[in-house]
Amino acid sequence: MPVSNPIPERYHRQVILKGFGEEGQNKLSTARVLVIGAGGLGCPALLYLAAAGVGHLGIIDHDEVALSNLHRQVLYDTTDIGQPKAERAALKLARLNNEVGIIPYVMRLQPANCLEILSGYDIIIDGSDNFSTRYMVNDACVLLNKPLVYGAVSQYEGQVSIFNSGEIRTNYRDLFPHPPAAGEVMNCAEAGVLGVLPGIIGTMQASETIKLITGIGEPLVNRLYTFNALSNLSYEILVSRTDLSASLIPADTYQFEQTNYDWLCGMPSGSLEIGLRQFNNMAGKAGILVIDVRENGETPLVQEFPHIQLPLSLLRENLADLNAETVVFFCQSGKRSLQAAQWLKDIQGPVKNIYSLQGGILNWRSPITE
Amino acid sequence: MNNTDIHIMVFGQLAEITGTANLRLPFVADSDLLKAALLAQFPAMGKVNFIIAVDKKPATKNVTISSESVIALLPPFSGG
Repeated sequence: MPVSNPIPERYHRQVILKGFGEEGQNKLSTARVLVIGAGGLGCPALLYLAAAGVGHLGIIDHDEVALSNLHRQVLYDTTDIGQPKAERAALKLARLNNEVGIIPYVMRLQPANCLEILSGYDIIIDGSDNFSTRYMVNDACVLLNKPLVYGAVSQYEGQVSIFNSGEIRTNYRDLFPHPPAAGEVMNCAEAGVLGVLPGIIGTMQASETIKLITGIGEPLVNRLYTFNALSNLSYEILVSRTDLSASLIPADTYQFEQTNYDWLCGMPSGSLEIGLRQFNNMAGKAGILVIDVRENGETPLVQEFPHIQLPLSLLRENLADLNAETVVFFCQSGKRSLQAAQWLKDIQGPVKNIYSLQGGILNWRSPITE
Repeated sequence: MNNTDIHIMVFGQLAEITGTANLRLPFVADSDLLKAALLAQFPAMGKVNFIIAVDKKPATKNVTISSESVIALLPPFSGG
């Protein structure tokens, strides 16, 4: 007489659920899920997926644990500060459930490695913290035809959705076709986030992933769920395919790998910035125009090197008139000047070399005192 | 007949521009007119990316608004 396998004690409480059963557990045990970002969203998602017995978990994060992460990134403790997140997460999850195969990737996800890494998984969870990664992962999932469990937070609110799954396939660009410009949307570092909020949203991502794998319930396919923790209001919008979105996604692997997502997302690439020494070597030389983009009245006033004043608020309309071989912008801290450099680069005018003084005038020292 | 206000749910940092998460504006008949009214009242909205959703659907093209329509403004979030 055949003896049926006893339900493993570890998963007993979910296997006895109606609609879940041993079949659901078996599906989980063979599933391969990649979590992008082991931060506020990734930590709770990983904890629940490992606990539930998802067979294989990939964790990609290039970052290290910082003290300011600990109020929301619940996989880490004080002794983890300075350690790579992906490795620490993998270690702790292995303690939680040694039946799960866990692969940490301590690296930055980039167009050059993205498709290869994602292609080894069935479902991708986006828990990243920036638009460059989000648009890159979205486009990669469309190209690879992989379900994407999207989650994002800001301050007291979060969003969850599933893209690229089901009969009608939609993606994030059907909602927001173009990435916002730099500075348009603040990230957690600048805008803040209630620690428990990514806990709620990341846990929902885990829940949606389990529903997708096991086929239970009605996952948030083509529905963007928005939740506000202050008011407890939630709101859902239905996502439909748009022609614009389809036209914006790279056509093939080659095009994808050539796409500069940092650039698309308005994140000025570091090459525009110059340090103190390079700046001092340039200032005052022929063919080099130094521009102060601070608003009128900002101090300290600068008399040590020749420059013109063109406040950022007036810069855009005057960009095309700038005519020098090299233009170097500076401001108070280096942020506005970097924006100015980006704008000038964008118009593709006559200026050949465009730079921004890193750290701004507040960190500037004359060549004599340096 | 449509002399009533329309009620708009405002999400994310857009609420910092509107000053409220529950905005009321005089009735307008479609989403293009709504967008124009929003930009007139809150010029800062011209600089940010957001969706106008009418009855749960993003207004990717101009759509009609009725006095019963549920309207929401949603910005993209990037935090994790």
